[in-house]
Amino acid sequence: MTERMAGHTTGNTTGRMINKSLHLRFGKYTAIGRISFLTNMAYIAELLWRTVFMALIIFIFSQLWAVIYSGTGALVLGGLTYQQMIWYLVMTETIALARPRIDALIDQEVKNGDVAYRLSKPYSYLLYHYVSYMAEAVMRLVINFAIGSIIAYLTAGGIQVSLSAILLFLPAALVGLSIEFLVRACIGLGAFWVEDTESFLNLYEKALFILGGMLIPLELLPETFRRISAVLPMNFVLYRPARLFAAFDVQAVWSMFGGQAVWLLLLAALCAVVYRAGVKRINVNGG
Amino acid sequence: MNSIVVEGLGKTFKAKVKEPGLLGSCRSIINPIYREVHAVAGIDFKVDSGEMLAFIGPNGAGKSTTIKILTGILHPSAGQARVLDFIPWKDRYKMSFHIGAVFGQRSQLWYHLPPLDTFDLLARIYEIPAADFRKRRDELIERFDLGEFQKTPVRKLSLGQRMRCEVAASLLHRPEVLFLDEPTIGLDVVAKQKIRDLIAEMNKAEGTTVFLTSHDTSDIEKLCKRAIVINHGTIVLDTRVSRLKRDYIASKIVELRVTAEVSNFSYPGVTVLKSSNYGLKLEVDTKVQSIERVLAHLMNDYQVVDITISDPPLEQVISAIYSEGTGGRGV
Repeated sequence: MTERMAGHTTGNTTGRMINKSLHLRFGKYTAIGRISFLTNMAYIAELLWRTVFMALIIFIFSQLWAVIYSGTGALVLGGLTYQQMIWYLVMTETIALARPRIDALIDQEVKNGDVAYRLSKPYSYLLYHYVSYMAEAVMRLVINFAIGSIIAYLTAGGIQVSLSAILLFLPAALVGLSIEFLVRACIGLGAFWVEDTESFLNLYEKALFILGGMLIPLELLPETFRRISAVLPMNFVLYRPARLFAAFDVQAVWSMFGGQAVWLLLLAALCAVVYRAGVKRINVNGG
Repeated sequence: MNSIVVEGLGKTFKAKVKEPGLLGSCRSIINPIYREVHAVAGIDFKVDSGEMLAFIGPNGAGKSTTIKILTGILHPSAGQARVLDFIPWKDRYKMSFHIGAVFGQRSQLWYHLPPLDTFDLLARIYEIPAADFRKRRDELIERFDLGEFQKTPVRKLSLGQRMRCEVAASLLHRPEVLFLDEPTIGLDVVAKQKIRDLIAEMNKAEGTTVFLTSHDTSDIEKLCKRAIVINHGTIVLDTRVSRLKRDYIASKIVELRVTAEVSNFSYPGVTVLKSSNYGLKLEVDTKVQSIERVLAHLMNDYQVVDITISDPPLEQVISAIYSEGTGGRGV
């Protein structure tokens, strides 16, 4: 009995030590997120200003879609009513405007050698940026979601949204933003090999605009484009989460999260490979 | 006991060579030609625990490359190095908990936030338990006299205040070895002196090994007992600072502005480097003439508006070291 109790106590102590060690090991990333959040609080006015841009886009799109719906006489296009279409577009913009320009930051750090200096600190460079990126993205997403919903309501009126749709949209958007981080990090890390990574970003942005469902829902694209989109990660960043919100479908939830998980794993592996190869090339100027 | 051991350390970079013009650009894409740059070419030295070593040399001498290898940022092309028994480029993560680094031209502080927030974050990054951190932070705030601006965003601090925060931040996790790469660059005389005093104090109180690179000969004179001079990637001299000072830094530069016109100034042991109507730039050979006597003479003969005394530039000291072999003298 005593032995068992002693064993139990030792187990508890070891458990506490492991917990403490894990807390210290990973607590740094929550602290990085917190400081990034605080830093971005300095730009809150800029964030709010961005939503004016969103209001403008939504206003233009709402006029355009009103003409399309009345011109075709259709009540439903691509499986969405006019109101659902506007809410869909607002949700794509909510996510799209929440994306920080992490590619430019990494590109800059590679070029000016900051990436090398960060190596002398005990943290993972990619995790550091991921946490900073997400802290900023979450702040933007929440603001965009709140103001975007008001804009959508004022422009097109309300739609029936289930609680599940609201509760699932936010994690789906966060996973989408994580996929976006990995793509942008790979583009930024490209600066280890090429002078200008902006052209890669432009290509990606155009693909996201069309194949990610930012311009129109993927159902309205020609069959070939839809097929291409299905095998690319862009539709998991914007289209799937926004569609889930505007027209909730239980079946789509599993395929969306499944697809997002696959792309997260694939892109994380790619990002790690690109980072490792890049670090080998570090050749800091000066010295 | 040695904190740092370096044996035959070398680093070679590959630099792309591109001929001018469109044809040159096309050639460099199809058939790129690289040239090898030997930034560090087989250096050996040891640093004792608790020692303050000056690692000096002109631009492009290999100082920063050496620091980058010793902090684990760069992999060497040849040789071995151990810092506190860690191989820096292999044990970078583990070693980073035991070393600190201040790169004068790179800030580790968050620009928009007060230093206290950065200290808090660094404590988490270095996995310092909360109670230990609070004690250490308060001690550093007091010692570095940061109380007045600890809650002011870094962007609003003067360069001198910021550097004090940088050095304090690098000491939060009680590093055994501190690498300082140009810690006083851009600072005024008072701020430089403050930083030097603080570094010396920490070294004395905590026995921190200090590896310092600087262009400022005063940093070396006032902080270190030993100096290694590096140029073109090789060690030119490894000696005591007192000897370096005696043999090679044997002159001072005096610049003054006066109210009346200066004509034909001459004084034993003093060379006029530059002369204008109301200004003089002099080099005083301190082996021949004491700086006090020159100053007394100047004050006596002229109405001085402004005066500055500085050391000869490091480049000049190094060229004097080179010329020693060919019968030259110190500067």
